[in-house]
Amino acid sequence: MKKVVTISIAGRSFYIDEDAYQRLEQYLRELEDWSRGKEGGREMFTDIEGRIRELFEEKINPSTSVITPGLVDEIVSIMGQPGDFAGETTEDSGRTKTGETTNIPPRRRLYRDLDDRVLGGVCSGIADYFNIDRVVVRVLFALLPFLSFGAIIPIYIILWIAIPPAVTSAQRLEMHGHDVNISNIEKNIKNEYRDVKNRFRQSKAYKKGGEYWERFQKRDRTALIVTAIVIGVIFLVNLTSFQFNGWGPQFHGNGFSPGIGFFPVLSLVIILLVLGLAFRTAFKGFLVLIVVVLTLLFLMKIFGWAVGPHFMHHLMI
Amino acid sequence: MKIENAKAQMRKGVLEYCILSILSRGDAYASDIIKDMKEARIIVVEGTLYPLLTRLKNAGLLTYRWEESTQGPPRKYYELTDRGREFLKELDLSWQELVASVRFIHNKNHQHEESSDH
Repeated sequence: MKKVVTISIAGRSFYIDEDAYQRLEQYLRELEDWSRGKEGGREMFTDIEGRIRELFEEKINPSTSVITPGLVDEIVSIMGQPGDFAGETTEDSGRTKTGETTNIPPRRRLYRDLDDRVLGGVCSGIADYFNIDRVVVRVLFALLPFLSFGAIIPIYIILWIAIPPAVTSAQRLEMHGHDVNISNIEKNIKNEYRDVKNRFRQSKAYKKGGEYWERFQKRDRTALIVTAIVIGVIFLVNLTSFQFNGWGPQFHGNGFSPGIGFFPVLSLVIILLVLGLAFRTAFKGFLVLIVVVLTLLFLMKIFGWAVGPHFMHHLMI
Repeated sequence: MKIENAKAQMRKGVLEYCILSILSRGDAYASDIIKDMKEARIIVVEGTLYPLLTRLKNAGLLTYRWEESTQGPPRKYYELTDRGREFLKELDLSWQELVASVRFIHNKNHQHEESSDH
């Protein structure tokens, strides 16, 4: 006996047996991962999905009308693995080698682990996501109610509701998928940014804006950009301004935020990073700016401590 | 230098040329193009076509329109733009030149072999 599930491919529903479903899902995910980094990738993925639907319609056994693992394999061999698409290897000058794209485990996602849970599996899911010991996360969560005066309890419940459980084996794979490291995060952010950029580019507003933009002389354009940057800098200074008033002799610190507001600095860094992504050529400059600002703040913090009348008070805390 | 890379580079331009050439016959939707290319044995896996179509579309050489279909969802019909037609003309020329050049070299090799046999 085999379980059969219903899926929808490019708007048409099919019956598919469970093994075949997992194979197909894995394949589609590989295609999606591949298309994510490409210009017009989403559109390409939709087109390929449409073609897969067509192939299924063509090749499905009309008497059983169930997609079998054999059929999925056949379709995969017809469409090919993303690494086998001709012209792909030259595009990235050999960076995307066959196999490298097909053998990487799926992207890691946050799921609740139902196989190993105390309450909802939230802790084990989080532990898997950050690749730390489950016990550590559990102990932390067990201690947090006392440290956070109970605030963690509703948070746990919200997480329980919000995080989907890992039900299928594909989801379980994803739960342990590849590591969340800096380069992966960077890749995800870049992909996401590219996606948004593409969608934005296709919008009417962008095209109209582009037409107006073209009418400006080059010198005027530079002037506009400089103005925008100056306004941006003023805005950023305002964002960070309150710790300029905050440090120094008049400062009555409360121990937790001695001189430096965490959120203004965080938003400053995020804004700089976004700007850096938008103007790729200036990215290094923005990074340097971030480092300079953070160093300045750090120095100010130390300086503020040193000259502040509550120096000892802070040390005790 | 890897043979796969050399082959892929050789094919890449030719594949784009073939797609434009197929579309010069008339508008077609992805599956028609795939059928032609598979018959001609120029592509192995069908997925190859989609990045190429996207690239050609982004280069402004072809465009598409949606058309209702009697069976299944609406289909994307691709057609050449004016620029695409110009482009194809150039490619036709350069293909003929290429073929002529390669043939010339092959012939010369052949003659060389024959003369060294004597």
